[in-house]
Amino acid sequence: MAAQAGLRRLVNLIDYYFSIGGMQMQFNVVSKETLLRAQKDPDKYRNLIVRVAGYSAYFVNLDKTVQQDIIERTEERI
Amino acid sequence: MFILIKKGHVIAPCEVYFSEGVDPMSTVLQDEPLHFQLALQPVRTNRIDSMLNYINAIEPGICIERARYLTESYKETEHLPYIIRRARALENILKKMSIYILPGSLLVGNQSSKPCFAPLFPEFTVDFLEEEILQGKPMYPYERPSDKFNVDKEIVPELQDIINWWKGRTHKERVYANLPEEAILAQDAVGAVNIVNFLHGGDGHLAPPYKWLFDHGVGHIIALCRQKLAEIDLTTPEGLESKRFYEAVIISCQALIDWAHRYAELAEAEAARETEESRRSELRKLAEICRRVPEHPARTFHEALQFMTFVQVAIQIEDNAQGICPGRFDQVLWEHYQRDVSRGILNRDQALELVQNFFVVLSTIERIRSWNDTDYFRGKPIFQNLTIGGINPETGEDASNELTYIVLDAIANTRTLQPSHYARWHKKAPEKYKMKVAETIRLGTGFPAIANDELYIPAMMNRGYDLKDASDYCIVGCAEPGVAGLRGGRTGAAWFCLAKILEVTLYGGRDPRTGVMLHPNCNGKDLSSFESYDEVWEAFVDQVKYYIRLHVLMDNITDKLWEEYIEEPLTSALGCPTTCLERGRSIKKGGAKYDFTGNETIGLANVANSLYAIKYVVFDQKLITGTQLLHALKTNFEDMTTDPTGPEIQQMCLLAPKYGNDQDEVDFVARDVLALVCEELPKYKNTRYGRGPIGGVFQASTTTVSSNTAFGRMVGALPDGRQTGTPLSDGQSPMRGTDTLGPTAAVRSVAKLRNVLLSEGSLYNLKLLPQDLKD
Repeated sequence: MAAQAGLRRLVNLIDYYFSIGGMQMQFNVVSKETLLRAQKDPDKYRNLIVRVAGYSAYFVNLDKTVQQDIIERTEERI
Repeated sequence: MFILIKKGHVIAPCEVYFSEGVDPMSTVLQDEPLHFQLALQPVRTNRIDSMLNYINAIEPGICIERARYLTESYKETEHLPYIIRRARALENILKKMSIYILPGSLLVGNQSSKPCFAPLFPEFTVDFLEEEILQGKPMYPYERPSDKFNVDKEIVPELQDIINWWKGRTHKERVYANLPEEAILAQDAVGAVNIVNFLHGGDGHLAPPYKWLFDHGVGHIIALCRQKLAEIDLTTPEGLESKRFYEAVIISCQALIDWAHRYAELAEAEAARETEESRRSELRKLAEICRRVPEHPARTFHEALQFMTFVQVAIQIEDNAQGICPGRFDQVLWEHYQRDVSRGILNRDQALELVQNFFVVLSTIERIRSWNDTDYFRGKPIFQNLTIGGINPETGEDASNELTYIVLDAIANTRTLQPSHYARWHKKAPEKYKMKVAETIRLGTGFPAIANDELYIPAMMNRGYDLKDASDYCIVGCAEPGVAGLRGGRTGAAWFCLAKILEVTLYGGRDPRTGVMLHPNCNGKDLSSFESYDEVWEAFVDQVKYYIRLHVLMDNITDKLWEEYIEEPLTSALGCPTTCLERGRSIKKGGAKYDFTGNETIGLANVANSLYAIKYVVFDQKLITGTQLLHALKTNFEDMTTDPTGPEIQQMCLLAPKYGNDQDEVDFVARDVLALVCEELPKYKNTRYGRGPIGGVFQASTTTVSSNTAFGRMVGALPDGRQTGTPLSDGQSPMRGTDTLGPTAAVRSVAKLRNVLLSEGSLYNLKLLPQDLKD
């Protein structure tokens, strides 16, 4: 379990949010750098799936504004 | 105690953590060691791999067959009641459409002539088909910068004929003819409320009661209808109405059975040609299964999955609905799985492969929207949601089982966009489950999203669900809860752009982009003349109530015309069989046990931050006047001739406290704004109220899909510092980049909203970094 401290922090974050009245949560687990590289080289990243809002999509198939929205979302550190 | 959530610590980039059994040398992209999805190769059988390769090699296109056979039938049935016409049209489509078996597939069911080809639904609208496919206005579907579809030139003359026949007969034209002028302006000019999605196709957003269907078979539904037909009193208007419904259900269900038999014949024919012995026997088995289901009860896991596939696809052929959902997959298939395993006819690996095969077949489904509507649904979502985990409604204990883990393995290794996935979460969920869900999330596909039983269940009960039904919820769209077989209505419903409504409030009720004034502020003031924050709030509340009224009438008009001219006998019979068949009426006429019309509230964070910024900058700190702020908004914070300058005013706005940092003063504004919408909507009844279902009212959600970018284009600069035309906030998430104090503070803010009022679903997006999850 010690090897999974990162996953444990994620579980704790969900448990915490839900214990204080949170209802739903959905995640992207991706860095801005990866997304910027995907924008530059879409062929190489054609299988990269990301979360939009209520669904997932291939990042490189998304409209540029939607891509930008996802890139600019706050990167929360846990 | 919950700790471990650190603020602002930095982990140096390092090698990715590989789970056991994964070869680190198999990295797909050597320069992406920190992205799990790219670094970890999916593990799947050759069968699944080659099917995925086959589908991925096909460029999305348009299939004319459904439109052809639908129109052919409608031309011959003008004398018949609408619900019968609909059934006859579906019968004609299922009888004549091309069917195929994906190479190597153990499951069948196709929506159009080729994988990833979108069928057309001219009964809803033909205007965009004509403008875009035939005339290339604003562009041909194959010229789109994204969300493209190829068009085979050979279909053009036939499509023109089909379009010509449907002109004057479509749902969209009927809705526009019935909408009051102010509603049309609110949608097409101001951009505050929008129902375009529901002018293109069906409502969907339901989970058929698969357990019930597996146990009974569609043949049982036909038998029930025959029995009812023998009993009804044809001297009453109700009896005459029910007669039509039962007859339409019989036609549709028989068409579904016959369609399955076509696949049986195809599988037999392919088996006869097949040279490889193992595939030949698979095809023969497939033929047997298609003779068996969906007509008869499913006896095995494989039969049940094939049953589910037929139903999923057929409903989507009937009316282009989104969000047709497998529901609580690990619950509805558990008995079949367990029985087959104990009888030694199925092992875990075979079940996993079948589940992956199921995902692949669901991924062949496509939907074309108008270019305009595409803006709200970027990336082609279909929303066939699959839910795992959660409590057992009978015992309240955790219901996860081996199939739960099979689904998680299938998500990690199939990596298809369909189905979509939710994992239910509750206090008794085992650690093993939570960790496995977290590990799946870490891949970064966004699957599964997490739903909290302890909020969803009471939220539903607050609107009238009983405890047992609410405990059995599954997600039936982006985040909306339904109960398999029991929930009808329309969860999607209108987009409701709160940010635009705030903007018009600041301009006295006038939309600054178009100059349209639908509803002057109740106090006759605007941002230059409000004398207190209370006056801003008062005007905003009144505008919200005005636009909610338009939202309701737009949805109810859509539903009324749907009920009168379209109907959906197959969806009703398979989606809510127990009550629709008992009452003798479709979902749209009040056939479901529970029925609600939804809502999608957009831009909550922008509105909360803007309201608070006005209070902070203008009234509390008195840094500038309302007149100065309004000028800065009108000039997009760019006017350098004012003192302070536009950019300086933008800085003041950006520096005001923001929702998402655990600061009560602004978080409570977000709470009150959302509660206003949540409490106003249920005051309105939908078209099924008093006709049988429990509920029959409107209810709120914070799902946005990609509409925050579409609406953002129409909303000017706002007092939160956001510039004109840029995307709004998504869901009920803090505005991107403004939640700066770490995840603990962010989730504390979002949890201050009265989430329990969001009985149509809550949506909170969080972005994490792979390196934080590696150890």
